[in-house]
Amino acid sequence: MSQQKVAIVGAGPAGLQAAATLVSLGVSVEIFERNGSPGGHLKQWHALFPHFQNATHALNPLLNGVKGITMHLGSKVSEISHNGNTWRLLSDDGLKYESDAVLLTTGFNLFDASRKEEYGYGVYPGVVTSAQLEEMFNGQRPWPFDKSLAAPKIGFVHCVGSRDVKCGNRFCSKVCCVTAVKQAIEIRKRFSDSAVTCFYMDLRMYGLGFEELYHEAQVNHQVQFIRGRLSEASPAVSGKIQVKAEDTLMGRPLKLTLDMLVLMVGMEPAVKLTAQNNHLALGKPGFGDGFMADRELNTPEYLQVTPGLFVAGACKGPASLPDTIQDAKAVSVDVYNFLKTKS
Amino acid sequence: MANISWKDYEKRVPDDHFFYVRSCIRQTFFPGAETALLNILRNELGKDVFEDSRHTTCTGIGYHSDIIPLETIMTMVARQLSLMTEAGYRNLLVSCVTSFGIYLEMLDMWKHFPEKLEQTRDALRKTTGREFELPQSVVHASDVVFHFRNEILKRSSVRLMNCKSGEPLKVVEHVGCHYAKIFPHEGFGGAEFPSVLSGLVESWGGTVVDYPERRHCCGFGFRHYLIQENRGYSVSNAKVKFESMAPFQPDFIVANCPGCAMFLDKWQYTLAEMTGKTFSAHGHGIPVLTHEELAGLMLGMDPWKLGLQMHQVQVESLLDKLGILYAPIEKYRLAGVDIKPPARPSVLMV
Amino acid sequence: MINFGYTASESRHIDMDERLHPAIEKMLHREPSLKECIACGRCAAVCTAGYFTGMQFYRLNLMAHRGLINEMKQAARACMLCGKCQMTCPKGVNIRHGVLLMSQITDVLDV
Repeated sequence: MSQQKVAIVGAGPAGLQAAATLVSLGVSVEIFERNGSPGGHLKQWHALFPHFQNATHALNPLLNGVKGITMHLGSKVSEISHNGNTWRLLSDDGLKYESDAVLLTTGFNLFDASRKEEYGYGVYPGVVTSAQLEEMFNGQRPWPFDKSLAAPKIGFVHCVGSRDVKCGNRFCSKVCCVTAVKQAIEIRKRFSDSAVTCFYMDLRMYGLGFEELYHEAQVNHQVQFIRGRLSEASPAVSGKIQVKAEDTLMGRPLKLTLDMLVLMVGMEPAVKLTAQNNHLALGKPGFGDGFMADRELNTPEYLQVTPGLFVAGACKGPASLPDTIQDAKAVSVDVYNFLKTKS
Repeated sequence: MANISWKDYEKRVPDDHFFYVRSCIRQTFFPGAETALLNILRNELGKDVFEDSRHTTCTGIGYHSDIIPLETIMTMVARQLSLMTEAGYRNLLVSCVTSFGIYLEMLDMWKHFPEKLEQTRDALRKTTGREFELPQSVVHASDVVFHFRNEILKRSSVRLMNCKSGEPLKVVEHVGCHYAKIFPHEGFGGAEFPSVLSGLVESWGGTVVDYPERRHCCGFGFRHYLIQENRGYSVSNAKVKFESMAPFQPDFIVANCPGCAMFLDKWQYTLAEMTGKTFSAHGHGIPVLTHEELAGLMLGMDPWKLGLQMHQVQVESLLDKLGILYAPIEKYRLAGVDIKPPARPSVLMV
Repeated sequence: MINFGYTASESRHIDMDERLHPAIEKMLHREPSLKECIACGRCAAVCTAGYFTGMQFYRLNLMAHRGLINEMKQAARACMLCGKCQMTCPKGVNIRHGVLLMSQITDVLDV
């Protein structure tokens, strides 16, 4: 019997981890990635919560794990179909590939912060996203304020594009709270006289070490946590940004002038899957389109009734890096078991 | 933003044949503004504008202050429309933002409650024997100025620039609430991106000041200033606005609403007397212009014929920046006769 | 100045642009456990003085962190120093010492 083949769509952490796991189980794998390089969002990241681990230290083992595996970079899969036991992938660049199973690890997109017009992203240079701040930490992006500034004032807005019905996203993006706390501490360490304020709805410190990090930020780094979601950001003189929020614990409105405002952008699905007979189209998600599947429940029917199609990682819903890697491993075993029953 | 279609925010403005209705308060506070508009439309642009001296207040201020009942204001509006019908016009041109909102509100109400329209027709017939037709279009005076902004620019030698430095003037624009917040599709830019004044300023060479309280209320608010005891609320709101714009050192304010223009102008005096503070570098305050006065200056009209000496904040500093010549001696002369200048405020410089 | 029969009010906004009063910084230094407060409200729910006054310790602490020194000092005087709050605090804040410092802030920590 010939070696069974699996096509993996997406070369982010989930796709890379799944590929390595499946290869270790004796399965032949090919990866299709729409971008020019593998690594997903992780490759732009500087440090990871809660221990400030260098992101490249997390990415390198994933990249090393797929050495020797065929990876089609710049290849955007637009359609998949199945005929009997055979799956067929079609990419925008005309690539065709047949396999015994397909694993979708299409991950997430970051929320487009310009959709929250009241925060002035894309209008005021001092308003940046959490992802852009990582690039500043990495030295890949200039700071929007003069670095020699004696005491820069920096604000973080939690839940930008998450828990927001008007953005079509009811869900919590899960990782932004602790990311903001991590980034706030990094700012305080980098600019010792800085003043950092976080505007939050509630702080969701779900993981081990997260609450401790929050405590450290509050007590050791004097990060101010204001319970109130930012209402608006406006330009103040000399390129600064004035923000308005209700300090809900004080029951009073509050205003503050900042040198930089960081928007904690949430996660949105990167791909919308539309099923029609034996064809599945991978399209652009529209307003309010959810993730592909809940991790445990609510698996869409076409995933249940279509043997050989699997999904893993953040395309199922907001997930941290450890979540994603664990899920990729678990789903890889499902894929392996599926292939075993067929052979 | 990519997902916004700016076409949704455009408004159709007729090119000619307007029936003009005036404001009840503007002739006192900005006495040259309405004349200037008529002058520009008729004499500069050659448009046909008709007005009927029999028209009255729209009673909007009374309506918003819970003094005038709905039936009354509907009949008042109907009477104005009957004058328009009688004159053979279908394009209503409204001077005042409050009236503009009132006309749109009544038309919208009649659309959704046709029985109210019938009641109104009946009331007007019984009280005056008049009949009326609904207008084809309702535009505000600032819509028309915006619509003809390029024609005005073509005829103008003035640019909103400092004639000495060549720098664009920094302009605070303030759009009246009832211009587009009630019926967003009836205003350029809708309620969220009002462009009727910012578009004027930018096409005439100025820059718009984007300051934190740009969308804050001017403080007018009808009930809040009508009663003396409430006026503190009104003046406090204006103070918030001035304090927010002052660090940007704006050269002037342009407003399209009688209430906004009036309070942004007069409250500078009141606040100066109350707190000892003014909001400009040399204590003269920030001049306030209406869209018509601004258009008039663009077209070289005499500032004193435009009635700018009737403003609380004096405009000479602005005229100097614009390079507009004026005769100081003519400021307080009426029909060739000297009139007594007003008393000087104790704080605000004149 | 003219009396118009009405006055302009000050804004209710908390202005975070002003630096913390040095006395507050000193107080936080003297009683660092104040920085631990998470405004959960346990202190206020058991407060003896809170039955009859607006005493809420967590709000005093918020006032301190927002720079509202005069309001804080005034409000702290409602405390009876019974210490029930301290028993219920999950973060171990030394509330009694904190309130004592707050109520006398500009007297004992004058800078």
